Amino acid sequence: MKTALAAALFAGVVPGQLAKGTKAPEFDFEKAWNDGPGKFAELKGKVVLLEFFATW
Amino acid sequence: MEKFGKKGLVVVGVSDEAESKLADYVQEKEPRYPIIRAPGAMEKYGGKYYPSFFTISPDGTILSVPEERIPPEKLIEDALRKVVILADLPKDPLYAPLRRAYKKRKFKRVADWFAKTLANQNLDAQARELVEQQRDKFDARRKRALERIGQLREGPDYLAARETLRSLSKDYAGLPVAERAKELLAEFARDPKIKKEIAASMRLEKVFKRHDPNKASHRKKLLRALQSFRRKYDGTHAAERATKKVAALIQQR
Repeated sequence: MKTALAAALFAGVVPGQLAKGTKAPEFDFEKAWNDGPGKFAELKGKVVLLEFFATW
Repeated sequence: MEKFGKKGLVVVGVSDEAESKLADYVQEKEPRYPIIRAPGAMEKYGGKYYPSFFTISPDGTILSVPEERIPPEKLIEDALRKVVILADLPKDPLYAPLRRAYKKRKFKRVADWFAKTLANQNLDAQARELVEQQRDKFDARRKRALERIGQLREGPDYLAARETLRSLSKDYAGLPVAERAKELLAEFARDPKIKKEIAASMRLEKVFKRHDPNKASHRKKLLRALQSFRRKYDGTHAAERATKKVAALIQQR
């Protein structure tokens, strides 16, 4: 069990978190600053780095 | 960042925090990339901590997840964190006082340095151009600060607004931005409705501090505390926040 978990973590697989190679889910943009895109669809066809951040 | 940007990388910062918090963050940190408010997005991706980086390939699949700690991501992240206004200044000692003043957030000294430096007839053309560019950036920042002060008057989170105004009046002491910030702070202190909003927000912060919503054992108590809070402070923005949190907590059950 432990080994399986370690192997999973090593492969970047974390329970509950989307894995590499899966489809990136779209989400609604409620508001954008700094000339941000208005909706997720505008990111299509691009290499995107999403940073989920906290201001605190 | 620029290097990746030229190669077509699009960086997007995503947060679910309050609009006023994010507006302040943009004002304060001046990130060079777009910031998006998108409640629920982090949950969709299952990110476990902040910051969590995911890269997405052009075909829409996930290219990398946070745990990989891929070096290019680290590079991008580091580049993004750098202070913006000073990023393109050469190491010349000419700019040392500007750097110091800016780091200490003594913006009056920054403004004075620009005026003094540009008044110097012996400044060579190349340096002049650079200093003018920096001055324009600084002026844009001041303009944004003034605009932001105008928005802060409208609330709804007057506690956060007061914090922002206090730091603006300190950082810009001796400049018009600070004067405007102080005027609005005085207005806040006079207005009974705003005073009530601030008191309610402070009280709510305390409730959250006492009962951590991330701990299952605290949830029941938090729920009760929030329910009595929203009755007591009915009609305030904080009560609205409490109501939303109550709904979220009930849904989580």
